[in-house]
Amino acid sequence: MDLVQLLVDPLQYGFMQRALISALLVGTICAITGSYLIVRRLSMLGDAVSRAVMPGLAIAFLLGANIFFGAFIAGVTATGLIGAIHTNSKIKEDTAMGIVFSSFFSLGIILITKIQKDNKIDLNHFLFGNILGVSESDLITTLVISIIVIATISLIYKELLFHSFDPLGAKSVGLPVQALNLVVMSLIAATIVASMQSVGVILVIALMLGPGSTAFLLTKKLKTMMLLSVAVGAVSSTVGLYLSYYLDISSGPAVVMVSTVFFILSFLFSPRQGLLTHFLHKDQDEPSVSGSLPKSAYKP
Amino acid sequence: MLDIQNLSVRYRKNLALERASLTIQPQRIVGIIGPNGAGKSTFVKAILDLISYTGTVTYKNKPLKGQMKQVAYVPQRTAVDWDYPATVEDVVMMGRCIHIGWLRWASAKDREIVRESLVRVGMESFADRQIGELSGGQQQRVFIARALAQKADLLFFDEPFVGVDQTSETIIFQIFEELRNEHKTLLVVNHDLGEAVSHYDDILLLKNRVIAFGPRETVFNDENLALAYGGKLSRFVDSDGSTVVLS
Repeated sequence: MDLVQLLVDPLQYGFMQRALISALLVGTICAITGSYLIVRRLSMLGDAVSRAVMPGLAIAFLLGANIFFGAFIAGVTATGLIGAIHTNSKIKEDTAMGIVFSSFFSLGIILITKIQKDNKIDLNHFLFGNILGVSESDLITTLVISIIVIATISLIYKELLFHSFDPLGAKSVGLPVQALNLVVMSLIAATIVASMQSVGVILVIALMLGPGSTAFLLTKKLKTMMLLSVAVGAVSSTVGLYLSYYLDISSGPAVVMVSTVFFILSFLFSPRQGLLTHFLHKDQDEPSVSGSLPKSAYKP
Repeated sequence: MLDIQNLSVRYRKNLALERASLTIQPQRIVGIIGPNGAGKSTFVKAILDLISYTGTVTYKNKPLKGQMKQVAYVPQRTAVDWDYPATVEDVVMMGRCIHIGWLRWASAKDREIVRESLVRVGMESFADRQIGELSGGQQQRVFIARALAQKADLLFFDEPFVGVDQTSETIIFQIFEELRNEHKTLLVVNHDLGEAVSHYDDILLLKNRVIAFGPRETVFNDENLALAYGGKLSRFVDSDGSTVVLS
């Protein structure tokens, strides 16, 4: 079987087509919102929110409401609670996050375990993703969320840039920083919700941080960081999906491992700050001493 | 003019600033001076509504809160993440953000203003550099270019000379004087009591309350400094006639 066949063959199945589109969308929006998490040093908050969506999902299921909507509400509520705890007591933000997300997560697991006995849902699918089981309505939800996320960020990009770089400066000129904070947190919650089906709540944070960090090491502008991050995210998702199909492994971990490979490459070989780039350049910069081996001899 | 009445700030139980009242005349460079923890940054942040305070702040007889377009603020250099993926041009363009307005993009005119501002601080050839690749003085000049791009009348600088080289310091003071001559008002937080003081028209001496405020010649004396610094100061007159103060 040649490579083209290897790539095209699985797409004869409807579930694979849906999975591929879903993977591309999720890879894209995770990369974009993840870039904000990275530059604003909110990675841990992203992690907390991703676990905190669980009870919302379960409660919505019980009420017969849209589970994506329930998860979104839970994510935003958790963010609010974290803020309320650390502003109203001497407990610091990291501890507040730990308390809130583990409580929400536990409640979510209890509720879902109870529900799954009577219904056709599987806790593992929420935790680790089941991209091959994406239904048409799931896909539409993911698509709508993706459009909202991308449109919002394109429309208020310059305000978000100012606010995420220099919150005090942004506030001093009268930008509504509280509202911008809320927008970013909502976009992050929405991204997590859209990604549940394909990577699962436990690993979505990795798909938000992996491509973004890869791009962060390679670029000097937020816009290019986001675009490169989208490329890395989309490729990781697609490759991960095929790996998941052929090797019969969970889609979430497969996608995350591919994005980790990109990160390691960027970490080692980034032109400006790669760990190995530094050594390679040092090697080249050193004037060659007469009588020593020619440089090409060192090269593999 | 900028009128400040009974400005107080509390951090939990501690009073960081107690009932500061003063009126700053336009077209002045005001040096805000005092020991560590005297509430200098707090004073500026309260005026700009960045922290909660009690009291009133009015500018041209109207609350300053509704006129933030008139204000430019340069935060302390340590408050900024210099690894942030932004170029020099990006940072200066942030000064245009509020003028461009929501759901709009920078126009050719905005880009021209950004370029002019960079030329003025001598940083135009660095426009495409990532901000972390600059020296401390260059970073400060970029922030000053951002303040210039804002075309504000009221400019606040929080410790602009910390970690700044001599060349940048000279350029910055030069720009301060040009701005003052263009009818702008500048408030500069500075813990340094050395030669820098001579560049200020007015001095505000703070130690959690207003110790003294007024023209440099009348305010900057041993008596007031002893009040602010608690007598832990020695003053020398240098060979060239300038005053050197050691805290």
